[in-house]
Amino acid sequence: MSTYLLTDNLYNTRQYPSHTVTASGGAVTGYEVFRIANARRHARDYWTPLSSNTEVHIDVACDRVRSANMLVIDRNSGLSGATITVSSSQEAAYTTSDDTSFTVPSSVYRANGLRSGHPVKTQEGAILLPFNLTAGKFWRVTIGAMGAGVKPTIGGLWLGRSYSPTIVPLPWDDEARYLDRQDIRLGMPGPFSDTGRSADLRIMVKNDAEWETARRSMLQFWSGSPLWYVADSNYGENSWLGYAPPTSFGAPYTNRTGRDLTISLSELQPVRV
Amino acid sequence: MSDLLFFAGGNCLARHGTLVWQTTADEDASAETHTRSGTARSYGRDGNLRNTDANVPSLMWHDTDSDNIREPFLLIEGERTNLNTEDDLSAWTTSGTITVTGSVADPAEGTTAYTVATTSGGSSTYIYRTINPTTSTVSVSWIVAKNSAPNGSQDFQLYDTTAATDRIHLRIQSWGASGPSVSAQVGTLIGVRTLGSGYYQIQAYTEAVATGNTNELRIFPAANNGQTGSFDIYRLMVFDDKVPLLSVVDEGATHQKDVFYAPFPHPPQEMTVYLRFDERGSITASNKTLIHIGSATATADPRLIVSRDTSVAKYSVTFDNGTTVNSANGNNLTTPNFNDLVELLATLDANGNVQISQSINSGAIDVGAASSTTATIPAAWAAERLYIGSRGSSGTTHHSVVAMSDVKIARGLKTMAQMRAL
Repeated sequence: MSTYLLTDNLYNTRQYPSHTVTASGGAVTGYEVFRIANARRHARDYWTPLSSNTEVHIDVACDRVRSANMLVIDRNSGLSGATITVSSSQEAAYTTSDDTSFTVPSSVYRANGLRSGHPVKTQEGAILLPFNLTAGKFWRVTIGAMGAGVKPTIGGLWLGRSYSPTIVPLPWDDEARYLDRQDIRLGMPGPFSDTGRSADLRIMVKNDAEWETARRSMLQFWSGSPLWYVADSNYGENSWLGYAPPTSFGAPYTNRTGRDLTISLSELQPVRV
Repeated sequence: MSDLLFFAGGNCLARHGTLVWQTTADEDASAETHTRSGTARSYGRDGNLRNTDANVPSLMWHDTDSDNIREPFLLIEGERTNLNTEDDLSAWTTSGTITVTGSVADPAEGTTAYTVATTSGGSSTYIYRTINPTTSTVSVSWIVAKNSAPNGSQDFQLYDTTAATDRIHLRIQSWGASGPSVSAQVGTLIGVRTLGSGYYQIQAYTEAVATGNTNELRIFPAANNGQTGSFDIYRLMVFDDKVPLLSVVDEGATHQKDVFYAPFPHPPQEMTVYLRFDERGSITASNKTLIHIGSATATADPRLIVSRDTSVAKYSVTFDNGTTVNSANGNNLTTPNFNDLVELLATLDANGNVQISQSINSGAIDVGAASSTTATIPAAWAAERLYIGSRGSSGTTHHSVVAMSDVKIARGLKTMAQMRAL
């Protein structure tokens, strides 16, 4: 088993102000491409192109060569059954690229192992895909034509480099249950969103080199970017998106040589599943 | 916080997501500057060719530990012009019973090729093309794939028709699971590199070319008399340099030099430099630069250089504070071969003395002799820059072909094991 933490998102122009995000096929007014990376998660907040049954792609031109190893498509997307290709290239024209393709799964399976090239649908409908690390200055996600009269919709798109702790936090017990707890959220508009998952992670960082690797992910998270939390890759369907609540966090030196990471996260815009 | 001050290269890209990373500077303050006036073409994650836009750093993906996963290397190459002026092998002149079919329909991917075949091979059955080298030192880079029987006996020659002698003569003895077994009948075989889709890059050099003579490239599909033979050729490139490009260059085209540097906002101090790279030939020619710290030119001091030594085929470290030059080479160390994975550890101590250690293919760590003249460490470098593969943007004298995995610089004196772990 492995744990994955993903905050990095090359499509997020708040994280990367110098990046340029464009989409082929245009966009219906009110459903512009910037919506793919605002993490609003609302059912009506998504990008969709003008035409149906047409292959489209969403590009990001980075400010420098960058690497990535994970893609996430959020639950408020309509891509079931579509063929998706993630491409990295060193040329703006994408005449040559390193590609990873997959078909968006339509079912949620139990004990669905998350591994390179194998997409997993979470309980709430998001799609997670780890892939072998690759790099490029130009990145593209291509969605194949989805059939007569069907247009793709993407409500959230994460493409970045996940952090996987070397020393894996073990499950709470042998049933692979984790200390996720259900929080009561006050002021939510309906009973389907008044509870959400929360977790407190203590990650033992192996050494300073790993801390330096983890640091960027954590700084992004603590700066306001949400984090995809894969507690156990053997149960990828249990993954969820969290944000940093106003509580304690940090990476103090503990009474051993090295640091531990203390991470509190609450589920972002939960729905009851 | 560790003592690591600076990190760059392909392994940095894998670990931190960018080609340059620094502990004490934010991401934008660490950004590299890279220039190359033309496009480039190198090997992607699957071993097939990938194009790179002008002014975008080239990456080269190579499996260093046979786990079938290629890791990224930052590829910095000097300027080279391909002396072969015809990529279309069907346009070469034929000698004997020989056919050339196919095309390079998608040259960037490197997965299609020309098939050169004969039903009656021998020393008079070949295709050929004249080239015009301008120096006595010439290297070749030949990209081939197995096509059909026979299992071997495909030859390449760089033949001097004036002197009636081979300058380079390579023979594919056989094809195995790990690729062709190649021997050099004449010239020096650099090595064979596995690419994608069943292709292999064979490289060799000679220092014996007579430039005024007529020199021909010759390809033999079956070297034995009467033999039936066939194989696939993607490219044959020839360069006026002992160190061939790893990248692929079209007929007659020039690969423009890469110039890559990053901010190095750290003062001169007792420090350790760790380099891990794929040996591409820097070791064969004097002064070829691996890294150059603290100066934007090849003359301004103070600075610190790790390069191939001026006189022996060893890597060396040089610290020049403007008045004293301390240099230490690995004279007692093994000379790396092409395709070796080399790790170097260069130290600068508080007295301004330098020392270099080396490990090849993760083998034993050999330690070179240290310099012994005190040189005061100055308050500042000549410029707060670190170059990889060159000493500034002007000139090509110090440019080589460098495939860099790690450039790590840490404060203090560290061991190889400590630097690997940082």
